[in-house]
Amino acid sequence: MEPDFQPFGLHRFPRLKASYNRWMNKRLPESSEITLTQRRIFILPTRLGLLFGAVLILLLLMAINYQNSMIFAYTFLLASLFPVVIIFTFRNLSGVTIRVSSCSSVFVGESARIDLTISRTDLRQRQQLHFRWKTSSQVTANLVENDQRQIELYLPTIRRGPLKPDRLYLHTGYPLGLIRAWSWLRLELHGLVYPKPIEGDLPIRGIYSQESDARKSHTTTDEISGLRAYVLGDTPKQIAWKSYAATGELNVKQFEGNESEHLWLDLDEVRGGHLEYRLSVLCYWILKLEADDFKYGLRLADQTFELGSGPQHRDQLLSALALFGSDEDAESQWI
Amino acid sequence: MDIKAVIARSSFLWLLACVLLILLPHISRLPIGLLAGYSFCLIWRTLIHYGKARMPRAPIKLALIIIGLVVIRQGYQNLLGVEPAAAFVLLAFVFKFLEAQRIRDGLLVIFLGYFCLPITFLFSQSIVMTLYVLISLAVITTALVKIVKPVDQASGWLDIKQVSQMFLSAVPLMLVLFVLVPRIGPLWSVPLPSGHAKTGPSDSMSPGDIASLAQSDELAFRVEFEGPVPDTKTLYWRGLVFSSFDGRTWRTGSPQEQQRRSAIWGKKNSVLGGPPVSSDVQNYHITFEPSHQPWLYALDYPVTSSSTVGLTAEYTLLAKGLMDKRSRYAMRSSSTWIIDPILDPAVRKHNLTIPNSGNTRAKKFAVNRRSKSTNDQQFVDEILSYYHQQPFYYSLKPPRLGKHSIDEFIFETRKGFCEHYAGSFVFLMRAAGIPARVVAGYQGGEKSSEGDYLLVHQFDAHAWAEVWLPNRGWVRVDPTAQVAPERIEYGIEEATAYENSFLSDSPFSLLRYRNNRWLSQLRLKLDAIEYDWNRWVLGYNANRQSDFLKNYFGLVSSEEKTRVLIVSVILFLIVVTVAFTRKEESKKLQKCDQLYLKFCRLMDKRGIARGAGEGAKDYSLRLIDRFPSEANRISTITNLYNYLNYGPNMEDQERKRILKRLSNEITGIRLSSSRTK
Repeated sequence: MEPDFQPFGLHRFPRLKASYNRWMNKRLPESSEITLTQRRIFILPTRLGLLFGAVLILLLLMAINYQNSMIFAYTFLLASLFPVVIIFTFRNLSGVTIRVSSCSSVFVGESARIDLTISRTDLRQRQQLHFRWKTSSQVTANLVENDQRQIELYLPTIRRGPLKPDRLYLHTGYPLGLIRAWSWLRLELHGLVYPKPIEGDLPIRGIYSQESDARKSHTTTDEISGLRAYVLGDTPKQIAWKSYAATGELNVKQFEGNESEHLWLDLDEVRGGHLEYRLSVLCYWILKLEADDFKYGLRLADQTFELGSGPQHRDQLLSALALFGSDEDAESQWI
Repeated sequence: MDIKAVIARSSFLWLLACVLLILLPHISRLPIGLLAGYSFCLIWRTLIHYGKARMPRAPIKLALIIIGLVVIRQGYQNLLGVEPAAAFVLLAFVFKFLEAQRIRDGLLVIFLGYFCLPITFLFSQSIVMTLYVLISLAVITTALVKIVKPVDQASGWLDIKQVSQMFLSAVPLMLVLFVLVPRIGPLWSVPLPSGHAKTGPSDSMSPGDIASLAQSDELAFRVEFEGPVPDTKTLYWRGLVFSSFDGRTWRTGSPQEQQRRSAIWGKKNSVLGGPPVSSDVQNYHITFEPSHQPWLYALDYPVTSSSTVGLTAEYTLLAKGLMDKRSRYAMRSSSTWIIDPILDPAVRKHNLTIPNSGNTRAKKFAVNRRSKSTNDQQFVDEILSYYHQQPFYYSLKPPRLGKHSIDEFIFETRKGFCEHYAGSFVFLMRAAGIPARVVAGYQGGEKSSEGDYLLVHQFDAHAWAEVWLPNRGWVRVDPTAQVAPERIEYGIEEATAYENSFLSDSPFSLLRYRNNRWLSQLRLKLDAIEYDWNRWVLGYNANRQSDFLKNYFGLVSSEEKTRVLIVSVILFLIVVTVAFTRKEESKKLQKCDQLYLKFCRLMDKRGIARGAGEGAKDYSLRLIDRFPSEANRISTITNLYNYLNYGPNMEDQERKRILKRLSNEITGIRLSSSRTK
């Protein structure tokens, strides 16, 4: 019983699909905390429910043909159960509140961890609340003794940008599975999907290239403040060759002063590939430089991020990469 | 729900319980081979559950199906009946259970179960059976809940509670549907349950037949009189007339088909002329239990017939077919009605016939006695007084009779049951040239606890005689009354008290203990309930429905009825929706709040009330100040309460454990406070 992410084969009718989505979005607005009310809950019999109906018809035939009062009563009892089950299934979902408690930012291809807090606005027990995105695996929550519960969902990401998955599908068949009540949750997630780190050449403006002569001289005359172990990707120009000759260890000269001004990562400096590839290389270097305790800055077309270091700085730059070129206001393109 | 997943272990036991509950009522009806087959499948599946056996492979399944079909073929002569059909459906059900491994199979078993469960109603619709089916239905539905849940996290009681709540909520709508949904006739004809032991007198009577019937405490029929229930000793329920005798067995004079053809079938309760309504006319309704025989019973002498109840030339009643279902008919009888004032010569001849050979002593005795009497009536009286004066005994265990059964009975054994007396009497009459015949039926009955109706049981079966006298037609003569007047006056139990043989084959029959007042009351109360059940619930058919709706609700046209039905259903839906979806906050407090409030009340009694809006922590500090000796307890309670309310999320188990501890601490406080008093 696949949830109907695109009911009635809507994908075949793009214009209809667009208006369906508009309607759904209006009916189910995006929010970081959603309480399920009548407006938000949909309800229909499942295939099992239809089978139940078929059994009822057979029973009614048996009652009529044998003119058997108790079989009539039995059939009517089961038939009366059906509307009751609809209500019980509905109330198993209604009054449930879903809040996004945290959402991790991840690199493309990883699964984003989304923590949801499920709570109830009354004291009724809730069982078998199933949560899933189209692409995530299903997580089930019960609210029996507890008023609230944490669940973790892992959402695979395929695209850089703000984490805006399609609607979260929340459904329940409890108690009998004859009826399914469901809702679509457009949860406001504050997670981002960073580009996938891809190794490449260090995309900085070359120390001697394009810089003013003054700067060049300044750089070369700077006092070497110390040596640091060579890491793959270091510019050969900074390698302390003398020290290498003496000790056999490949070290890199570290400069004091404004030398780190030179670790400006620049989108335009990434060679080859399309935009996503170039962003991926930048991403790789941001992580790399952060790990190696460098100070680094970033130039992204017309955006400039000052030099700095530390996780906060790193995340700021990664966010910039994630959001680069995307229109914040755009609707999720995955719906 | 992943329907391809394997059924959870805890769900399996529920499924097994369903299958057992559904099969149980059929056990006594199934052929032994089939029963063995079902058990085999159940045991196999259970062994699979415990890892002791493997799932059956396709060829084995096929072989099992073929064996099952062969066993059904062997077990039932008539494959078109209900029993083989039921056996077949149950077989499919059990096989499905055997191969149920995945949730999808489990669901199919459940849905087949929903269909199989009410099959038992085709065989019995008693109150006990109805309760049984209701309980089984709850179990099946709980099993459905268990199977639909991928993993069982909550306790079983929660689900059972939920299921019971749902069924209780469904009952009002069920009643509405039961009363209002129009009952239509069968869409096609189906075989009704058959192969039951036929009950009541059969179409022949040999010595001992009625005596064995008298050992049964089954109900034959119930009678409601319009007016008071008459004295039971006047109640002779005639069913069959035996006029052919072969020296040992009495049979009906003409075959059933012929009787049916010559019977009068009234249009609708037509009256055959007769006397106008007077004191000797009885109107009554009989609710007849299934006898699987065609004849019906009426008081001497029935004077009406209907399209379904025919009146034969011998003033007995015949149904169109076998009485396989409980049914009800209205009847009118007249006790002074003269039947056959002029006797047809052929009938006269038939009712004088006795076998030429044998029983010579009895023949001589009859001719001899007749020659000494002045007329037929005097002869009848003389024979009756012969039975009275000679040492005849009324016995349920008479000695076996040989070839000359009449001679042996009249002159030697002299111990017999009503058929012996009726048979020998008619023989003597015929030998003396008086037309006579044996009538079989029931005599008497038992008044219900309220006295508004009469119960006639199989042990009330009786046989008596009719002699034809000039100008008076057929006259009822009961020779048994000469031997055992208490049989007619008080019933068979009194008449056989001396030999203690009443219902001696059924020691647990409540009827055996009729003398115990309490048991007797109980039995009659139960019967009254069953009577109402049969009449109002089981007998609720199209006719009853239209009468009921007209008399109690004034509904006549089908349009009105439909409108009421629709309005009731909508009302039900509204009520249930409102009742079950309103918020329940105000009604129920969280368990931990309840406990804490209890604690607050306890402390209030001890003099320190919690201020409005006072936090638990502040309150506890005040309490500790006042009761330093219990500081420990008070702070524990406060901490546990705060932990439950504001602490981190915890598993249900953990929460229960902490609640338990909180409850224990509060009990401790209560005990110590009662001690200080």
